[in-house]
Amino acid sequence: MSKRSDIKSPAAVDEDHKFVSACQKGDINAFQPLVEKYQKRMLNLAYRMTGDYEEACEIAQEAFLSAYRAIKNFRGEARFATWLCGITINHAKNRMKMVQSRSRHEVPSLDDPVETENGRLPHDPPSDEVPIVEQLERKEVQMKVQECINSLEEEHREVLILRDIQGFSYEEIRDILKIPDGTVKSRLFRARDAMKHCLKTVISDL
Amino acid sequence: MTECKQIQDLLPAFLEGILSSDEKRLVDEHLATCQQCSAALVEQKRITLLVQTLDEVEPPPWFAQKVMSKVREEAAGSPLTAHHSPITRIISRLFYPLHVKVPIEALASVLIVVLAFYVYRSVEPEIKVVQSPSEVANPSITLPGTEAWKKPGQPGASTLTAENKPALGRWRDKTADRITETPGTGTPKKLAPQEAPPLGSPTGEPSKTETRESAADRMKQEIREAASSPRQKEALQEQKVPLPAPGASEARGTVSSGAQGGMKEALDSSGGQSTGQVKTFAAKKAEPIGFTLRVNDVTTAVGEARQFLGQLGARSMSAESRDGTAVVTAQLAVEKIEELLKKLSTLGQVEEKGSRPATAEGFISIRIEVTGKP
Repeated sequence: MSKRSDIKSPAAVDEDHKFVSACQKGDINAFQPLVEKYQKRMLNLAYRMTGDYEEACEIAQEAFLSAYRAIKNFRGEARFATWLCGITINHAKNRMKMVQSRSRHEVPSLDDPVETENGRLPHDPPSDEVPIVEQLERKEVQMKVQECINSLEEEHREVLILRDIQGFSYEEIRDILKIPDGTVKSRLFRARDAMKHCLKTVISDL
Repeated sequence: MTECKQIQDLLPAFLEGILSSDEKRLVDEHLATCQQCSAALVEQKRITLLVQTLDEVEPPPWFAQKVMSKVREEAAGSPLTAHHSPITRIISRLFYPLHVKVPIEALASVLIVVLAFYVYRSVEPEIKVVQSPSEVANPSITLPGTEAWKKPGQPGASTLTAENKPALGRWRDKTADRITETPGTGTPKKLAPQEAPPLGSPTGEPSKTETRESAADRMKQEIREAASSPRQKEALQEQKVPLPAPGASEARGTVSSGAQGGMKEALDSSGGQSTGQVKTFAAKKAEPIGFTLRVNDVTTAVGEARQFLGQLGARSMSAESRDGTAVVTAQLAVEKIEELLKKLSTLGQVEEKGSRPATAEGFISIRIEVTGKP
C-alpha cells in the first residue's frame, strides 16, 4: 500500500485543492493535472470492479467528465481523491448493471473478449524481468484472484477493493460509499471470508 | 474449537493492526499454543498478499488527452467557463433548466392574462359608445321627441335628470338604452309609437320633413359628440345647465298651460308629452298667424277666446291687455285654425293676417289681437 502514499500526503492534497479551485474559476487546463494524477488509480478501481479493461477505460473517462461537470459543487470537505473514487464507483456500478441487462438480451458477439477456460485473456503487458513460466503462473493466479473478486457480491466487492487494493481507510470508505463504520467493517469481514473460500477453491496449493 | 473460530475471525483485523491491546494479547497468546490457528494466520496472510499485490493496469497513453478533449467539448457547451461568445451565451439562456424556465414562463403567462383583462375592461365602454349610434341612429331619428332629450332645459330632459339620476351615473353602460328611450321618463321606445297616434294625427308633414333632414343631421352630430365626450354630456345634464334654447321655456309653458286647459288626458302618458314636444318644435319653426278681433267688450271677448282656445287644445296661452287692446297668444294645432276662426267670428269681426302654413299637421303660434269696435 506504500505505492499510494504519495496521493495521501498533505502536500498532494493541497496541490489538488489548488487545481480544483482553478477549475472552479473556469480554468479548464487546471483539470489536466488532476486527470494525469488520478487516471491510473481510477482506471484500476474500475478495472477491479468490472474485470474488463475496455469497460474500465470507458468508466474512468465518464467519471472524470462527471467530476468536471460537478466540480463547482465540490466543497473540499473530503479529499479530491475520495470524491473522485465515489464518482468512479458509482459509474462502475451503473455500467455493470447496464452490461448485465444487455448481455441477457444479446447473443455473444465475435467482437466480445475471448473467453478461455480460466477466464478472459489478461490485459497486463508481461514484465521482461520475470521468467516466462513464473510470469504465466503469476498471471494465472492473478486471473483467479480477479475471478474471485468478480464472484463477490457488489457491496462486498467495492469494500474489499477500496480497503485491500486501493488502501483507503475505514473513514474514507465510509465517506465514499456513504455507509456507517460498522457496515464497512462487517461488509469487509464477509468480503474477506468469501475471498478466502473462493481462493481456496480455485487455487489448489493455497 | 469455539475459541479458535473467534480467534480466526479476528485474524484479518490482527494483520491490519487495528485490534485493541486486549484483543491483540488474546490472539498472541492463542497463536502461541494453537497450531491450527497459526496455520490459519499464514493462510490469511497469503490471501491478503494475493489481493494487495495484484498488478496494476496502466492507462492507455491517449487517456488523459481524450478526457481533456471531452472536458473541453463539454465546457464549450456549458456556462461553466467565462469565455463564451455572446451568441453562445444567448443560446444557453434559451435553454435554462426547467426549474428556472417554468416559473418564469408561468409568471409571464399570468401577466399577459391580467394585462389583456385590464385592457379589455378599459376599452369596453368606448366599444359600447361607438356601437350605440349604429344600433339606434335610425329608430331615434324617426322617433318623436328625439330633439327634446338633448336639451337639458326642456321638461323631458329635466325630468330625466330628476328621475334618472342613478341611471346617469351609469352613463357609459346605459348609453345605448338611453338613446333608444323616449326622453323625460325613461320609457322604452315602444311606448312612443303606441302613444303617438292619438296626438300624432295632427302632426303634419313639416314636422316629419324637418325631423328627417335637419334633425337627422343634428342627431348624428350630437351622437358623435356624445360618443366622443360622454362625460361632458353627463356633466351638463347633472348640473342642469340651461342651454340657450328658446323652445325650452316655451315647451315647459306648453305643458303647464296644456294641463290647465284640460289636456290632461293627452299629457298623462310620456308618449303624449314627448309628442307634444315635437309639435312644439314644429310650431316654433312656423310663421305665426295673426287675427284681429273687433268686439264690443274686449274683456269678455278675451275670456271667450281663451275658452275657445282651451277647447281646441291650444297651449302656451297668454294674454296681455294694454290701452283697451288685448293680445292673446297661443300654440294651436294647424287643423284647428278654421274651427277657431268660426268660433271667433261669433264674438265679433275677425281679420286674418299673415299666411297659413303649407302643412296640415303640427302646432302653430297664433296671435289674437282683440280690440274694441270704434
